[in-house]
Amino acid sequence: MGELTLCCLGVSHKTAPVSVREKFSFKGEELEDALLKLNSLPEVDECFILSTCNRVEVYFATRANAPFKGVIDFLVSYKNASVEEISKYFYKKSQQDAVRHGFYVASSLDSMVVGEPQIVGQFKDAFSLAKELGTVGTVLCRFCETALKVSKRVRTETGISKNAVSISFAAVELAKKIFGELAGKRVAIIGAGEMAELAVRHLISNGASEVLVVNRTLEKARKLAQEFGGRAYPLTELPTVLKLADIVISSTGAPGYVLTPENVVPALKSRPDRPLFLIDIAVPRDVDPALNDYDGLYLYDIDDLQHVVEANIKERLKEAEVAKEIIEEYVQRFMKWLRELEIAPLIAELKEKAEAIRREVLQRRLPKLGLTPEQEAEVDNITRIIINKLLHQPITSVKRKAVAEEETRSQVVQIFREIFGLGKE
Amino acid sequence: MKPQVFVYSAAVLYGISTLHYLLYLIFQKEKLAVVGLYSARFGFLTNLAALILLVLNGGGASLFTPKGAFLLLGISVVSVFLYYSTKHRLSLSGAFLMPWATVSLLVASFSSGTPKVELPVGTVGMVHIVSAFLGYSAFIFAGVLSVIYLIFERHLKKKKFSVFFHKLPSLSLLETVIYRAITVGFMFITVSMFAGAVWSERLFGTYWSWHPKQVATLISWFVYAGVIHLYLYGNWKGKRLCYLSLAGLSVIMLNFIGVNLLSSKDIHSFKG
Repeated sequence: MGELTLCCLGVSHKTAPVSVREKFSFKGEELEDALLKLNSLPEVDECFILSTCNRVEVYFATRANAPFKGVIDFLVSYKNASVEEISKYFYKKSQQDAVRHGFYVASSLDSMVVGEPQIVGQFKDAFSLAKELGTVGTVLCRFCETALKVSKRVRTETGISKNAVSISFAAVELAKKIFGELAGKRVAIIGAGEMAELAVRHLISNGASEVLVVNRTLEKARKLAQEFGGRAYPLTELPTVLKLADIVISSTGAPGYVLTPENVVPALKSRPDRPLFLIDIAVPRDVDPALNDYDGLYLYDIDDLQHVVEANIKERLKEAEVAKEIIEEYVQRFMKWLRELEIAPLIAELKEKAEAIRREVLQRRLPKLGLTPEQEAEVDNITRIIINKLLHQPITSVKRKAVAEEETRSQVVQIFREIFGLGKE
Repeated sequence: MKPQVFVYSAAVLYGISTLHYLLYLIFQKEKLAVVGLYSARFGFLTNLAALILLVLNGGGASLFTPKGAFLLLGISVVSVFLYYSTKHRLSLSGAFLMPWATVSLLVASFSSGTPKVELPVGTVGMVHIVSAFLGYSAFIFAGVLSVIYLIFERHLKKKKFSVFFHKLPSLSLLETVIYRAITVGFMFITVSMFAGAVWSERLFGTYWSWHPKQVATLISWFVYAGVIHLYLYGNWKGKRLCYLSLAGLSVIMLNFIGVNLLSSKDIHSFKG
């Protein structure tokens, strides 16, 4: 039996196409079954499986000399796959790398959209299922709990999930940059369309209070207005709507411009103190780009929104670098804990051995001295103190050596065992 | 301890703060802003110590020397900045505001701290000068935020997703803070003018004597009164508020440079 190793075997959107991820994914009862079977393998001490649409990862703790072999064989037989397939798409990480990878995943640094929050929930679910089934023990429990703690710190201390990375959220973000709070702001939607409606919904959930729906056919406008709890207007009422609205989302199928300086400028003049935010989601465009030159008016078309998204993704990647620094600290702390855990039985063994020797000698020699019970108790204490003092230095040294140097650790442990004559495991 | 040591250290700390905020503007690393903030805070404390020592050594009249005035300017600019930057997450304004504090402390470090005439200062005199500088600082803050607003607005319009776009909360918040800073500054400048008039009556027996400083201050008082009125009743908001705030600030600056630094006739002048 070798030393305890924490490993991760997995595929993700970075290494494999969806068809492969699909094949290896575990859902519902299958996941429970796989966990239990995996855990019953002799090589595997503890395990849990994280299976989402972007990744399938098996985390396990093992003492086997070839740590991955058992789990790979298991996957091959369980999923009817070939060893080649696994070696082509799966990554194998162990110890520090596995821990770091797990923390990155939980903090959403490894996600397709960096900073997306769903992964935290998925990670939590995977962990609690494994805990329920009893497939995680000291090591993986600590690992998962730390991963979740790290991910929380990353989310609160970096801007990794702050900026919008979808078109409809970008519209909300821009509106907030202009208006601050959206409470009390009126949103007008001209035409209809999935993306426009989604943007309106986001604006409402961010505080926008009133929705004005404009459509060429009043019937359609009424229907949509009902959905949003807003008011419906025919296209002829457009000037009135423009005067009322703060945010206008245009998404009609019209071939020409629907909003031009002719109908927007009068509305703009009637509201010198309130800016107007025009979002043009239509292709071909609905809003005359010349309007952007007017003061107090902000015009964004679909390309501009796309650019916001791109800029935000760049911003998130920058934040990810900050997050990595935070994570590294926890990785090192976890590895230290793990190494100390490794050395714990060795120290216990040494202490037990010393105690056994002490008791044996005392049992043999003490009765011959003819001491009073108080004196006997005192001798007992003295010998205990001698042993403690004697063992203190070797114990701290071996702890330090074992924690500090990864490569020489097994050597140190070996020598320690030989010197003190401790049995092999 | 000599106040001069504190003046130098405050100048250095403000310099460090300025440098980090400027780097923050370029590299956008939050850590830089944190260093900027802490050096500004420590600078504030040393600046305060320098000012207290100056007054303890030389009496209230030393506030009216160039050294005292620039120490006061530095400390009031930084206190306005520290208050608003933490309250509204406007760390970015440090890059524009801390240079003012640094320059005032540099000027303070080599200018004289001995009063040119013995002045019976008293409470009225203290109120006069302290509220004058708090007023100036509020106007400087409003002016700096106006510049930031104008750049941010331009970037929003030009679709330039710069540090301004990423690190600033919103146009409307900036506007609110600018307006609030202007009203606060206006309040202080009014108090300062009243205290000045009362003090002048005690010293010279007249409330108002049409000194250049008094005239110039009256003009800026009217300018800011106009800004507030136009904001409230004339819908001069957004960019126009910023232009007005900058106009008001330039009147104040001309007033301060022209009367206090260059002229030698006025009672407020540092020369002569």
